[in-house]
Amino acid sequence: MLTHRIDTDNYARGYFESLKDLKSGLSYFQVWGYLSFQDIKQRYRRSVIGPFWITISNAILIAMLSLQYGALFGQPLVVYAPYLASGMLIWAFISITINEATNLFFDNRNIIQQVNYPLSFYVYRLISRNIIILAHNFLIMPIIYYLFDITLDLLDVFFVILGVITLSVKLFCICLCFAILCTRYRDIQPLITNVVQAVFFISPIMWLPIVLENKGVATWLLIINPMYYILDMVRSPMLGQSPAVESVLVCFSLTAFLFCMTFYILAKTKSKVVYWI
Amino acid sequence: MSPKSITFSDVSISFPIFTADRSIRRKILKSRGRVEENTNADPNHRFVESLKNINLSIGTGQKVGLYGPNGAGKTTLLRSMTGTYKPEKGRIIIDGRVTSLLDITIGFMDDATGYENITIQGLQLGMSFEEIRKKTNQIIDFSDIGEKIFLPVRTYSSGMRVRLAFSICTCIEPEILLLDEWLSVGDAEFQKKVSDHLGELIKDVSIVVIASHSLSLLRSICTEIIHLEAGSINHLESVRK
Repeated sequence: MLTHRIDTDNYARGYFESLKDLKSGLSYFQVWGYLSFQDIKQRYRRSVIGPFWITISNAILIAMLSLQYGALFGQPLVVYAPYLASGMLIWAFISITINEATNLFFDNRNIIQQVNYPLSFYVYRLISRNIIILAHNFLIMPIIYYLFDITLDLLDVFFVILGVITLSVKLFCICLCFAILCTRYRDIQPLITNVVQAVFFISPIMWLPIVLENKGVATWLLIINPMYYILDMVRSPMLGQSPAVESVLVCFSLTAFLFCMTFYILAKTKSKVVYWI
Repeated sequence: MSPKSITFSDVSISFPIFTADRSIRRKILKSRGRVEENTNADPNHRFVESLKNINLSIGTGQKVGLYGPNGAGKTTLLRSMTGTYKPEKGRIIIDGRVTSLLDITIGFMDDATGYENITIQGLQLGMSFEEIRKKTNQIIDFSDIGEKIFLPVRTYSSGMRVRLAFSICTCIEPEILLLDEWLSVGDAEFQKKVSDHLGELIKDVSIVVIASHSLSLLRSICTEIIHLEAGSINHLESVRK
């Protein structure tokens, strides 16, 4: 239920406004949870296989790529296929979420202009919808585990869950910032789409970091690429290995940094976004 | 029931205009001193004043109409009553639960059934699950859609869609209800149904604010009519019943 008393003089200011927005957005968890569930249902309403098309189309792509690119990078299938499968599904989660964020407030303008939901509400809905899609994609992994004889222990499962949670928090922050910036500056959206595409190629998703050992600038570029650590944090435990310590450190400090940045941007722009739509 | 009220003191609302200059390129270029034209009129500081120094106070039991030509600020005034706009100048105080039916078909999902859309839309209008559950049967009855409620909204005629949307919105039992132009959409029969039900619907609502082009509609429903012109209140008309 929405607020029963509105007083524009009592609107929280600055950082309190950010805190209030994030907190009250979270309190609508039933609402955005239900709506994101309906979003998925809507997409596949008339399809027999439904949301599992996401799983199937990914499985087909991964099967094709594994056969050819594995040979291209000189990796045996048993190493390459699980690596690619895990990398692709994490990447799909990241890229689709970020691309959808660029139009988020514009797409929801009808609601934003007449119902006083916090801005974070729309981002929570976006993230939860994409987590549901990620969950569907995860169904490829048991097949991979079976085919290539990989076993996970409890610690790995714990790390996968931890990894997905920190990744989701990072995406939440990035999406909220991007959604705000893209509402104000309409040129940022194509820029983001392009950068996301470029990041796909410069990050170790289709290729293994091993191929870049001792390659000078290329190695250096990989080391400063945060996506390298973000991927490793989730992917390694999915393959039954523990993530590198530096990946965990980079991921946690990045999450903290992004959270502070979001807090700042939200404080600066919260009351203006509705005027920009 | 505690008294409900809407108070505006000296509220001005203006929208920034970003034309093609709504780009980061210009800002970057400018900061390096390479764009020289337009230095006096900074394109990032142009505004359209939508509301100017609005003072009003609406209390329990009042049904207020907003009348004025296009661009007079009716819709902006209504939207600002939902609390979404934080005015740069002035203060808005609203006591009571606001339901705004400014665009009644927001968020309909075409391939979902009418039944599911009751929940989908109810949530987006700010209802809780519990309220929706309690009201569902009433909404279905009121909409006159019958068995078709279990078919996808995609298969509905536009009249049925509006009827469903209208029924959802009107079963919320708001304390403060904001209505916009859409009252004048639909065929004659639906219009009649709307105006018949409108009286019924707003009977129990503490405060109703309606924007419309039709003075006769406003005079038949409202107790006061605010005549808006170019973002200011031109005059106030009391309607005698």
